[in-house]
Amino acid sequence: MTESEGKPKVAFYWCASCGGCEEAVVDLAEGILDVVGAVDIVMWPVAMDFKRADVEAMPDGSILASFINGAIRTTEQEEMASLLRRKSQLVIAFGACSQLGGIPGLANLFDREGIYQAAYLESPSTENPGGTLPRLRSRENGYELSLPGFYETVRSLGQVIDVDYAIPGCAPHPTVIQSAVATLLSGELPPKGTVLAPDQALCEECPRRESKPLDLSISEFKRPHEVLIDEETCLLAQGLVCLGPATRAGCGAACVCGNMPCSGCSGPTSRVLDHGGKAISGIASLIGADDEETIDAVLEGIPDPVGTFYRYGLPASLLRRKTLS
Amino acid sequence: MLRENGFGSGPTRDGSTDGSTINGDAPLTNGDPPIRIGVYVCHCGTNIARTVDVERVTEKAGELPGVAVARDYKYMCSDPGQELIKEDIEELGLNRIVVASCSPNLHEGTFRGATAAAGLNPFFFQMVNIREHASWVHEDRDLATEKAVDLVRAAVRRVHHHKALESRRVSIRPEALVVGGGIAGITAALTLAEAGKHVYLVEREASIGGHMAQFDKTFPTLDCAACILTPKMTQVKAHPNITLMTMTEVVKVDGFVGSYEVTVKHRPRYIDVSLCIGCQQCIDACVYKRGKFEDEFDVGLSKRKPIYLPNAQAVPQVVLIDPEQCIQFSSGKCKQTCVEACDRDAIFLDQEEQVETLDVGAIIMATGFQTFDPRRSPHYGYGIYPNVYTALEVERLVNASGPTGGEVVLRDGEKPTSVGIVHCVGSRNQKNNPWCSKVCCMYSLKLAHLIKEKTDAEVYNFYIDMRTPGKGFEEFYQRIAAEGAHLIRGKVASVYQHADGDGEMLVDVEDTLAGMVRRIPVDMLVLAVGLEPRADAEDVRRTFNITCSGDGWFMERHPKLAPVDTFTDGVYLAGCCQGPKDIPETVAQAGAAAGQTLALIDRGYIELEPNTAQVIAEDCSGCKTCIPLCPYQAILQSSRTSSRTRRSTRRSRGCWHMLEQAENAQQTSPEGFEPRIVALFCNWCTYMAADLAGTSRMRYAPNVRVVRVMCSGRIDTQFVMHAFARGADGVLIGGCHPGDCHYQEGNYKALRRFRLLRRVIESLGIEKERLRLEWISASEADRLRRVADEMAADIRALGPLQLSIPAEDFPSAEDAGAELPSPGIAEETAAKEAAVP
Amino acid sequence: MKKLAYYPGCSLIGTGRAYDESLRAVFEALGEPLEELDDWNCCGATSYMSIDKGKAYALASRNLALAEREEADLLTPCNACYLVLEKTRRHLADSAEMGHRVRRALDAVGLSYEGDVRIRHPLEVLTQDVGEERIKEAVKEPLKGLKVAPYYGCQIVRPYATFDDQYHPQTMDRLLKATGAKVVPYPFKTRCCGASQTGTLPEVGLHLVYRLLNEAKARGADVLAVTCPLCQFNLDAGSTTSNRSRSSTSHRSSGWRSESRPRSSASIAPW
Repeated sequence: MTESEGKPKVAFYWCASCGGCEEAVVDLAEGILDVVGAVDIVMWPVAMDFKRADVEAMPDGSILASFINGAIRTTEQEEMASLLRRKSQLVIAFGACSQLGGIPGLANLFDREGIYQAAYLESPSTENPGGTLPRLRSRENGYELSLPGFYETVRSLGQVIDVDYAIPGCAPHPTVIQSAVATLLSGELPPKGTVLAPDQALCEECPRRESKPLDLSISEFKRPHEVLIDEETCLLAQGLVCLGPATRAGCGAACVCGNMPCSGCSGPTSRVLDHGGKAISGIASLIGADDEETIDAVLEGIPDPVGTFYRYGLPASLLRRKTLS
Repeated sequence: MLRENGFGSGPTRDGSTDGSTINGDAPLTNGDPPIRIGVYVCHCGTNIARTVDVERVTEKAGELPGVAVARDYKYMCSDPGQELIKEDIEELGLNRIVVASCSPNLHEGTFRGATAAAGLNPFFFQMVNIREHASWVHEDRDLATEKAVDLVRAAVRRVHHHKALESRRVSIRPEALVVGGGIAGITAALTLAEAGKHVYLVEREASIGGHMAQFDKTFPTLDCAACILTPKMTQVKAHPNITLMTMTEVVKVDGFVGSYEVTVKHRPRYIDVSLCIGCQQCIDACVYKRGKFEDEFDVGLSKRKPIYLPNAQAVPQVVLIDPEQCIQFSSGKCKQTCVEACDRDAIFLDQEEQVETLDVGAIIMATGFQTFDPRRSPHYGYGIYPNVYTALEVERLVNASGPTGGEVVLRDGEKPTSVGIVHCVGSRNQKNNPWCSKVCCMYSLKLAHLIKEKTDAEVYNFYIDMRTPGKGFEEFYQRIAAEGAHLIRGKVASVYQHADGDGEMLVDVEDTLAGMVRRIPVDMLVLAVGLEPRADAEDVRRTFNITCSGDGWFMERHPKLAPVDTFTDGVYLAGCCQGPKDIPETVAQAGAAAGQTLALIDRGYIELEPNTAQVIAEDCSGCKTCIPLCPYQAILQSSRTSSRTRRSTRRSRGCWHMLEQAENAQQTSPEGFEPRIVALFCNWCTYMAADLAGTSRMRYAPNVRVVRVMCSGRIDTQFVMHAFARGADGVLIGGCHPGDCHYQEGNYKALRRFRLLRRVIESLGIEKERLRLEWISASEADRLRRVADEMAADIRALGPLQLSIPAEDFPSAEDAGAELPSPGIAEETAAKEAAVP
Repeated sequence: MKKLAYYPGCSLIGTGRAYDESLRAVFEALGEPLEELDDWNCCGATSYMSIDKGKAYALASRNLALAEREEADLLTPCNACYLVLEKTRRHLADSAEMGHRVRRALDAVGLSYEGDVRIRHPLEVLTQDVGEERIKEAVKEPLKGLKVAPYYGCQIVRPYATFDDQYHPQTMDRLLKATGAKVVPYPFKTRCCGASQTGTLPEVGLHLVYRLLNEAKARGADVLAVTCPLCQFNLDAGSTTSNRSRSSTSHRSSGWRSESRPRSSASIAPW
């Protein structure tokens, strides 16, 4: 990595995301000033007025690092991701959507037609008597208008372009961002593919770890709104589906500290192939029943298993989406 | 922040765009020499080569990454075959060995030995089963060959990940437990005791001796059973190395070979065994003046009192009290004359059940058999007509110490003049027990002789086939025929009493030799009841964690080469609990079981399979999920490392990392659609069933690729998903039946995961027929065949699993930006996707 | 209890009409009135099967399909219908090829059969589903003093022993006892009644009838109880003829103990 023209150039971009990742950057508070001081931001749609053409005009590889959040849903997002890839020495998938597909990735439970139907025709707040659906190109008052293409399937950034590192979380926790940026600025780059967060399960930093029983057996799953959650005891021991044992640490067990179970936004550790699959193995094994009927009755407590175990990672999971007929 | 290997780029069906797999394809051998694999494909004479194109498998194997040499050879297990491996290791510097031949249950040890002999760690060897799992179960040469190629590819991929493992030695306790005190248990116990080992002989009844003690004479020599058995019984009692425990049952077995902890329960006898001298004054003194209750030893043909001696030759020669019958226990108001009468104060009516733990290194099962209850075949009239007897009852009648003093008489005391003996009652019959009980023909001939000798009655033997294979057996048959017993070859159709009501019975029987139907009047009918597994064999089997074959007898490890071993190390079989046997065979098998036990004990140690789980401390976050999941409590929390876990090496058992095999077991693409089914089979039952299907030459769908896992509980749901993602059209999980798990409860974990996983895959649009969990025991080869065929047919009907989205289905960014016509993107992309070949 | 569709079969609307009427009355009295299967057809009887299996199974399976459509099991009082329908049911389950042929045939008339129909016999339903206790309670005039020989015939116990023992069936004995009758031991309870031999080879058929009646008489039975219209026909019609022709029948095999002297036969009553 050479630094030929003064401060290193850095780009931020967002794809299919909620904007929370942008907030997370701002959440660095005064810490952000150090970052801004150290680098030259060449693209950041949410905060600065640079255009695509500005980036296109830059020589390939002239940006040190692009931080891209959000999943890839449209052709435009793929174009921008590819453009930034070309111009950057490093691309960092920023946040769960970019790393794993994120919440938008749950759209993979439906096909494009179904999504159009729901979003443009059937939702109660939609007024669309003509039944108009998005078109790539259309003519309006003599002007040709165009829209980005909408893919059938949501993908993670890594499924579209080559990605060097990822910063996990929905949104990434400020301490994770800070330590990741510090790592990148240190000049001692970890191997490509590294997720820039501790490679251990959340239990490692969970304040309730010691309260987890050694003979845990779950006879009923409960959802957070159904119970008064004890603030000290391991949440799994209280029958709540906590994905902590299968989820990467780094956030300081923020949700658990807020008395809510971990829902898995930081994704798996490096030794896990499929985040949801690993969680299913571990949690199902703890069910305190040996016959099909009772097991099924216990599982009734998890009414939406895909939404529970793949809330942030369906596109990057092994099965990726609902099959298309 | 370590060891990441790309993210997000999930695998695709063709596998081409994806470089990442679990734990990476990244170089695994940091600094280690490059992997050089030798693949050896066995012809097994023509056993494999007839159905599998061995040359093609070898050629394909040679193209696989890491393979330095691939050869085929006529018999890999032969000395020259093994020599081939050794030479190649030395000369070509091989560091991984794959042999594609028969089941690992046969020759895994052989090839590990050959690998080790050449100085390579034996766990760098991997076996591929292309005989039992391919050539013997398929007919189509192309499909069988293709399957063999897949299986070899999987193994080659797998050995890349193998690590050098060291076997661990565990010492063996020198004590042994013998369960059951019949002639089998007695022989085994005495053999061990004579060799200087301490034996615990546990017997459920009040006396040892078993069925043999009830017999009068033994075939074919007609020597007296008591004369040969009683000395052995007393020898057991007197032997300093034998602890005899009667009225005792095993309730729990913990531990493993070399150090079993056996919990036994002593039922109260109400008599102190060490004080009672068997004088029987207590029996005389009992408030019951005469016997009132059915005597078990005489099969109900005589009556006894609530306090009684099990039989005249009982060992120990000690009385007992039946609390169900004794007045003191039911009312509390007995005069307790027995207690008064005992001048040794040996009676303790307040005795209670006692539980004790025994530490032993090995166990011999000698739990015997029960006779068929002929009430289940009511057309023979047992329980309906008074003079229909079982053979065991007649054994007591002809016995000089029996209820009639050796007189063969009817219920009314008269001597019979015409006696029928019906062979094969409860044997060789699909309706109850299909097997031949092996001893009935001979004992029926013996009873014919004894009855004739004692009553001079006409004796008719009704047999289906006369089975007399044994030393002196056929000669005995000739002798009985010459003595004038009538031998009628035919099945008895019905038995009924004559309407005149004189008690005479009519036997309708087809005489197949004379070609006619006969109706024969008899006044006594003897039913040669067959042998069957004890009613509680299933519970006993669970307690000892051994297996039963489909018919309920305890299953030996190998029908020919390991007839006294079980699949549980350190547990051996003797006598009829393994299947019907006569006395000499029982004694021989008991000797063999004792011999095996001695071989184990005298070596002093065994080598444990080293493939056990370990905790990598630096990776462990202390979530403790594994702790409640280990049925052996082998995972301990380490106090030194806070809540990090550590593994107790002593207890943990082997679970193998099989994912690499799962993903590679299905990569060739055949013409047309043939489903690829990845089968994850438990090593102890379903894998064995697949082997049995092979040895039975059953034919089943060649779509199934078997991956051996140590336990269905080892199957992470990720394995299943990975198989689907890698192109499997179906995944079949095979485990032991509930309650039968080799690791106590692994199959329940499999079931729990399966139920949740199935919900997930159904939500993702994958039909439930594509994922099945089946309990298939080692004996259920036919069930395996049915399941495999069914699943292949179901999935063939469903078509291929269209799972992941090949990269080509997405227009590239450039394409998407190009000139597009005005219709909606949906149509546009659909057209584009359709254009992709 | 799963819904039952009553399948009388041809005999019960002909020679076995008494059986039909009493069965309807009994179930009515038990509070489970019979509902006849709509549009049922001939079971094909045993003879069709020996000529053309495919057509015979197709014919019989139409009744199964009709019952399945009504989500009912078939209640089949005639032993021959019972056997034919049970045989059809099993064969369709076991033979994929036959199953396929029959399903195609059914498809042609807009019917389908998935295999969810059980064939039930009144003896089974009365002793297992209804139970002897309920029957005892429902009996208004107990058959006190009546000595009955239970005769099961061959087809409900052979070759399939579905609800009773093959050689030593007990359900009718239990049912008769529940009605207050005395059941005499009758060892010939499943022996051949002669079936159609009484028509084709009367000297053979009538001899078989004679043996059954004679044994019943020798055992002191007042009546024989039967569950099969053909058995009833043979035993009833043969009870007079067989005595007359007794002298002309002969033993075939040696070694038989000679049977006791001919007596006038017992009368027959539907069970």
